[in-house]
Amino acid sequence: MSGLYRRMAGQYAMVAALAGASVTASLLVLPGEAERAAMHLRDREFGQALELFEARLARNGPQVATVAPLARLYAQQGDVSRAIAMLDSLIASASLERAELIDTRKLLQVYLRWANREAARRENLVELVRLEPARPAIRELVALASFANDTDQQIAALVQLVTLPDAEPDDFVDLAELRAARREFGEAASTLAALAARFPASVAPSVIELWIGAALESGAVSQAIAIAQARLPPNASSEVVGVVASAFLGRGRAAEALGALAPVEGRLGEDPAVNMALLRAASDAQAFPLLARLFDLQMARGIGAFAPRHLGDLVEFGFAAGREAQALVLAERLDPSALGDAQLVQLIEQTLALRQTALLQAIARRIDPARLAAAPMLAARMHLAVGRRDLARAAAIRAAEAPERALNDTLDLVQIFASLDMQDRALRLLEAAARNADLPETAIGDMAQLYIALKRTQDGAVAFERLRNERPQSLAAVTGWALTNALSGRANAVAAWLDADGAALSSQTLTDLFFVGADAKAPALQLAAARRLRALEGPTPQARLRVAQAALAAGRALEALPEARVLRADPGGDEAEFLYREALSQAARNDAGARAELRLYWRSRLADARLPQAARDEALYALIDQRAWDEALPELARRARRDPGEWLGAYVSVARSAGRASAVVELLQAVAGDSALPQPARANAAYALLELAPAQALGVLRRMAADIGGEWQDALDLALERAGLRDELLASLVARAQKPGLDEGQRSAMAYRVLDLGDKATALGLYQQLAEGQPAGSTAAQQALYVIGPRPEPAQLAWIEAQAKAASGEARMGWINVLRNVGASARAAELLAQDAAQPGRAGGAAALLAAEIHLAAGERAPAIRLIEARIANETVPDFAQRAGELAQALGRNDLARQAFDRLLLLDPSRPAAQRLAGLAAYAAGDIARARDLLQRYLAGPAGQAASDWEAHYALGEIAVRLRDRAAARSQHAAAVAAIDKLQAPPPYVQAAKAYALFRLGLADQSVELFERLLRAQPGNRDLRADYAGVLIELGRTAEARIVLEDRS
Amino acid sequence: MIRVLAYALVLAFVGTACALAQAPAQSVPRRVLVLWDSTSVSSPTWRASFAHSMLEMPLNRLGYIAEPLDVAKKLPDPAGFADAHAVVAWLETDSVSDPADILAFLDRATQAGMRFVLVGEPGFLRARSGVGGVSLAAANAVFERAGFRLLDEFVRLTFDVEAEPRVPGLVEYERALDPPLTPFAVWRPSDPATVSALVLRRRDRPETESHVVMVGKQGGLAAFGYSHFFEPELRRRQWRIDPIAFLTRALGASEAPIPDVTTLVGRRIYFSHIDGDGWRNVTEIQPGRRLRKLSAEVVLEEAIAPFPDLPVTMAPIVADLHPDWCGTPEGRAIARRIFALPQVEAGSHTWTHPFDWPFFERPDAEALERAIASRYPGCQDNPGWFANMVTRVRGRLQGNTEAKKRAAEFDGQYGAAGAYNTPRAYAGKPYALADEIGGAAAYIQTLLPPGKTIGLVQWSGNTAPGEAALAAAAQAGLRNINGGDTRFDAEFNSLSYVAPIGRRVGAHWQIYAAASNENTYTDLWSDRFFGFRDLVQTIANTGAPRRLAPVNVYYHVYSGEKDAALQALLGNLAYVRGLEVAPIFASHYAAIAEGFYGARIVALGDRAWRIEDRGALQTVRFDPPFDEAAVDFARARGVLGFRRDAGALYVALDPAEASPVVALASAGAVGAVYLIDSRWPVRGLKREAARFEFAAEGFGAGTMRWRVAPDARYALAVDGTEMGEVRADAGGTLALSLPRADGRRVAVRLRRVQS
Repeated sequence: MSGLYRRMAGQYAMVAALAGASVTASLLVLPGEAERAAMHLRDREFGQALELFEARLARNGPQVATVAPLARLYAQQGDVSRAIAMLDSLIASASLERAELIDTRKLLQVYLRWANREAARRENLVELVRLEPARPAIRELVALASFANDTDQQIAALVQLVTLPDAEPDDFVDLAELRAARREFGEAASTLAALAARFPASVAPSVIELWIGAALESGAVSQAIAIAQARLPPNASSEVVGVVASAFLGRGRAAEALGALAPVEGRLGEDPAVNMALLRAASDAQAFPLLARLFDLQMARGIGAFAPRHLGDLVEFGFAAGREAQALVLAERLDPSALGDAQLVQLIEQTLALRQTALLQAIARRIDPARLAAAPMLAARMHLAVGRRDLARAAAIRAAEAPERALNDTLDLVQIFASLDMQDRALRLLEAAARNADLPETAIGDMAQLYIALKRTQDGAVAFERLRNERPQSLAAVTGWALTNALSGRANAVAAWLDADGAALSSQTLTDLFFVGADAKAPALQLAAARRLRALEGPTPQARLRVAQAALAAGRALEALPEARVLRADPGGDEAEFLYREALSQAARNDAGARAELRLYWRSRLADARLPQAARDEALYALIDQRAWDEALPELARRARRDPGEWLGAYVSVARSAGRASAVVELLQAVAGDSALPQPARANAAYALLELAPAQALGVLRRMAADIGGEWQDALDLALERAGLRDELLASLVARAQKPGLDEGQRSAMAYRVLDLGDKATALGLYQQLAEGQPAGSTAAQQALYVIGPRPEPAQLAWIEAQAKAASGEARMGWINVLRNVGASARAAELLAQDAAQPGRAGGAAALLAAEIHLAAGERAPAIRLIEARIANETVPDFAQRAGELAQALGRNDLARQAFDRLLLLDPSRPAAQRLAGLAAYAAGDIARARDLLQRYLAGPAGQAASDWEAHYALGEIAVRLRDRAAARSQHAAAVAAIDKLQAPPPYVQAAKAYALFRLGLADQSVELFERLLRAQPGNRDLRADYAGVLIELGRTAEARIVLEDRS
Repeated sequence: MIRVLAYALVLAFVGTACALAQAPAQSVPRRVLVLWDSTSVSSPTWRASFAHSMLEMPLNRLGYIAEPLDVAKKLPDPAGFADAHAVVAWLETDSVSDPADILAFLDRATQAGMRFVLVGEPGFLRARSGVGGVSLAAANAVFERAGFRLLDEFVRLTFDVEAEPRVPGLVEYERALDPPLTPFAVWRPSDPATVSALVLRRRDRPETESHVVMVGKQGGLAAFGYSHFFEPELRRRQWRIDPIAFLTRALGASEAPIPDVTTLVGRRIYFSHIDGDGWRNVTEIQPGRRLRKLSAEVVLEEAIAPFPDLPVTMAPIVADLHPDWCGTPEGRAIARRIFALPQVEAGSHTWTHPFDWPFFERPDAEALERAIASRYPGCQDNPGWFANMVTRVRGRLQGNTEAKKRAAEFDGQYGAAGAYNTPRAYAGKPYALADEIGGAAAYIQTLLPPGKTIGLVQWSGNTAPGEAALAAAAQAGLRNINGGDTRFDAEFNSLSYVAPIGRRVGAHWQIYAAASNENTYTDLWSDRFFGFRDLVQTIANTGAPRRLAPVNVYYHVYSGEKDAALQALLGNLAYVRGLEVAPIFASHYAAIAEGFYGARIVALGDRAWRIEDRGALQTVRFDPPFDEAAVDFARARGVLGFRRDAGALYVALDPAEASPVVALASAGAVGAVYLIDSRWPVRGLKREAARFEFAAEGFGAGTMRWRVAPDARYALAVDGTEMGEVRADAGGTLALSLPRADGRRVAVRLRRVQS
């Protein structure tokens, strides 16, 4: 029951007393089973309702009055299938009246939707539509069938729909479109005929087109012409003319189109759409004399603002009508991209034939080459003629792809490709030609270059294999064979041939083969070519260099090394040095002598102070790579000691790889302990030590932590953890946390580390130390409370309580709230009770909060005691008001009255004080005081009090008691007016209004309102009693009895 | 500790990762510019547009971020979107205000190499005014760059049109072609490489042949009427094309990893969140009804407390709790009990529960609201209701002509014509955005136990917050969620009802819930209260064959009011318990979703990518045909592991690594220890020769699987406590089950034990 409702309860009691009859009497009138079931259903007592309805079903069998609510109950509980089954069986029982059947099927429709049973939903809807054909239901069926892609059902439903009086034009069109799509053209045309008969104004152009199309498809040509002529008066819109023409021409009925369009023939030149319709019809019908006449007529009237597409049509008609000159003039104005494919080809052929270069250029400039796909040679010629090389190229390619081609065309295409720099195409065509004729040597050489330039060396190798066999004496063929084979992945074959054969290849060809071998990473070929060149040219530095490089590439370092040694000595230089080093490095892999030579080489370079640092670094890395630890590590150690920031990492890494762990530790200890080194370098060493040997890092770190602290202390902590010295670490942290001079953040961090190490108890102790004396909202307190968690143990509760006890003011309240939040409401209330004794605001707040806690816990007595203790001496108006409200909540209206009186004493001008004290006095029967206060309240400056129906109502009742009829009438009238202004007054307020109406002598209105309220709330006993009281007052005791016996 | 890590990096001076990091890098473009028209009658807002509601999810699925551009306004220079991959136009209109501006934009964009996808009509060819259209040739210059062109031919009568689907699966995906076919313009491929998926033509009329669905080298087309089906009376839709397959081809398949919001540590994400509506409603469920229990308490006792393994975010409405509004001590006590549970995260469902967010962006909102103030309910159980009464009375006193006019104006837009009787649920004082967002969060914070922090705002009402509201959330340090209303079940049987990850609102992102709540399953909480049980269908359909969304159980406190609703909810929770998921809080998901929008994929070459600025997003995905690979751990950095699941390869990233590198090798033996999947999120993985360690936190039993050497044995320690030995199976799968936990982080160490 709501608070306001509780306040009104007193008035209900009063009203009931007026009735003079016991409310209990009404309880003796027990409702029947059906009514009880309905009441349970209404009151959402679903379980009880279900039992009763199921019992009825078992007893009386399936009846609408039982099955429908039972199905609703099942559905409410989610058992929709059962609800559906019940309704299905009820329907199947065939015992239902038509109206019942409709209602049942409607309910079934809802549950089928809930169950997502779309097919059954449609079936049920079909039955519903059969029982009660209505447009909304049929449209729903059409939509469901559409969604289910069930055209049969859509059509069936639409057929039914168009017979209804409230059918709409769209229903006909939808039906006709579906029928046409199913090729039921006769039916589609009939449907549209019905539409035209019933909704003549709704036959839109699109409908005409569909209609004529359907008629033509059904073979009813004459009917189609009749439809067209009926819709095509001489002044028909151009849109209608267009669709009529389209409907006929689109079905190859040009002659019929001409006939149909005859009524508008005289309008040629007025409208492009009409013009085109007529010309197209004449053209399609091959009625050339008519076409020529229409074309001439059109030209005589001018072409006006023809759209590009129409202009193209006109050009086409001009050519077809034999009016080439005029057609070409028109063609200059059109946009070729807007022409159809056939139109475009026709135009170009005509233009080429007539050598209209300017027009040709215009067409070529504006046309998409892809449009000429069907006539590529034509396109190629056209584009070449106007210098459009790209487009000509594309067209020529398409032409070359034709499956068959005459020799002349092939030669033409070779010419086109050659002039377009398309050697590959030219080559392919030439190859084909070469099979039919002898080719000159120069052409063979060119062929080889073409193959190479085109990167088609695979094909070249095949072709030259054949040529080499056919022309064994041809140097061009042999050279071409060697080059194309070398370039097409057969370098080794060429290399073997070079090694074995003495063919007199030129120095240039051998050089080419050398580089082909290098590029193709074919060292055998490279080496074979280099050896042949060395033999051809003698041991020149260049020849040595080639042999050395090729031998290295071939992995023959021992062959390369002598050449490299010579080159290093003469002429020397970086390249020779590099070559020597590479040859030496490779040879060292398999040759001990070379290994020694290489180690000596790097050692000497490392020691050579004249070399730049980078070169010496390179030597160092090379020695490391060679695992020459004895040479590399001393140098690395020197560098690491001198410049640890740069070299320490490298030293550690290398020395560890060399297995010199103890040396690493020693060096790290030395670096970490060297106070002359920069701090970051020492830190790196210390951390590396910590990583590699935490136990051995401890000594250094302890010293540094003691001397410097800061991050060294952190490092020491980490070392202790890594070394497994958890106890020492914990002890250290706890000790440091106690040290003076630390701020709260530092202490908190240590506590966190302790917590992190798993010692929750110690951590909590530290946190609690930090939180001592601090407010509950402080960071320290929050951390402690977090560790404690939402359910503190007794000792922890005691600690929280101690904080509260030690604190004062807001801080104390904060800790008390903590107690309350962790479930220790009793302790909180106890502390608050102590505080409640304090005078003034602090005590008041505590008392009220304590009372609220008791109230929430259901402890009425202590709550009442606290409020009682406060009221008499309360000095804060808000507290007095709150105390009164709490007293009301506790059901202690006497205390509430005291509190509101106190409130009035403290703040007599407060409207709420007058109102609350006034209503309290009224409830206590102190009508004189109540009247005084409520009158002051209503006369007060607050203004809004005027619409306080409750105050008016109370004053009205007081006036009745005082037999002041005028005042009573006035107040009750004001109460009624105030209630009428409420948007949605709750039932108890309406009941008050009904009673006020009775007081105003408006018995009929009062009774009517009571009746309405009772219908809405038949189980409201208070209302029933009020109403009965009024009836008794009116002398209508028989009716009162009916009301009380719940028979209304 | 930081210094140690820094030193470790010094030691790795010749590391592979450094080499990858220094390789020439190029960001993978992730933005797709989406043209839409706010003057379209059917979709006047981005939120309502097909482009957003239907197409943005497939774009997100492919890793793209939709950048909406309203063609009703002057379009920006496309050069300003250097990271844009493509332009998609879906205008839902056959004419626009400025065709030349749009065509110029498309021309520049496609010339700059952006792909172009057209869905629906090319509405930008015609001017709405009838003056100022663009030529077909100019439009075709743009279309042809994408691989198709438009002819000046239109087929109105379709009854004799035959359809030729050429790419099965790409067309007739959810909906077969059905009569009567939609009239169509004639489209043709302009490039031999263009693939026609659906071709229409009138019988014996080759000139009418139209390729209404095409994918070209640089774009694609799904012509009007052939992208999707819409039944106007039922207001239901279905795709005719497979939008994901279509966009994959039209936008070009890329091997680059795709940021993924559905998966975490190899498992589908689970999260749950509750809007506080109905907190004060007395339950109808017995025996609670007789005891006057509030719905909130029923939800606590039935749906939250018994599920310590399923984290949940509870977001009350402050006006339901605050003592100056409608709050009672009982209601607040329930809130404190709920928030004390470790598996509960706190969110905010605002202070007064705005129903209509755009309403409050009107300059006259306060005056309009004052005119209908008397409609707001009072809170009769609480003294604080007086404040509401003041507002109500004030509204009545000001019931002069002006106020009546304003009230009528309100009803015209929001009452009879709109969805709401009032623009918010409570109105004790004038609306203030700061109170709704930051203020509400601050109040709810006072109800939380120490150590818990509120981190999420759950949008109320029509879930259409404006930019100011999203900015206020960001300023208050709150993530945000709600909206989208994803459903994919028997009633909404289409991929088109799966919402994108979120919605761009100015400079901010509204993150959508991953599934709709019980309100839409119950005819807006008016009937069919069991309906929420169909959520399991949505969970299944969005999980396979493609994993499109996380598992999200999203509901209101009023589910505790009715038995059928509660049973449906409990059924859903039981179903979820049986799934293999990674449960997280809703704010965590919102952070992951934000990470999707921020992530940058930097291609390093040789099948390696660096993932930057990803925030909380920890999964990248490789779709077929790139899902056959495996992670190359020798070159990767910050990768926990990978798993081939739900038709894709999911790679789990380590949250401890700011810029992880994902490198692929062909499938086969991997060698490194790696994570297959886990119920708990994992971070900070350290692999060493004979051990590996990591941190993990989660709810329920910490089941997880690692790939190690076959039959390998490990000593398991959790938070330093030895837990015994675990052993991999013959395939090298090491299954762990860490003790049940309440979300606290634990340190896990596995040390290899020699036989």
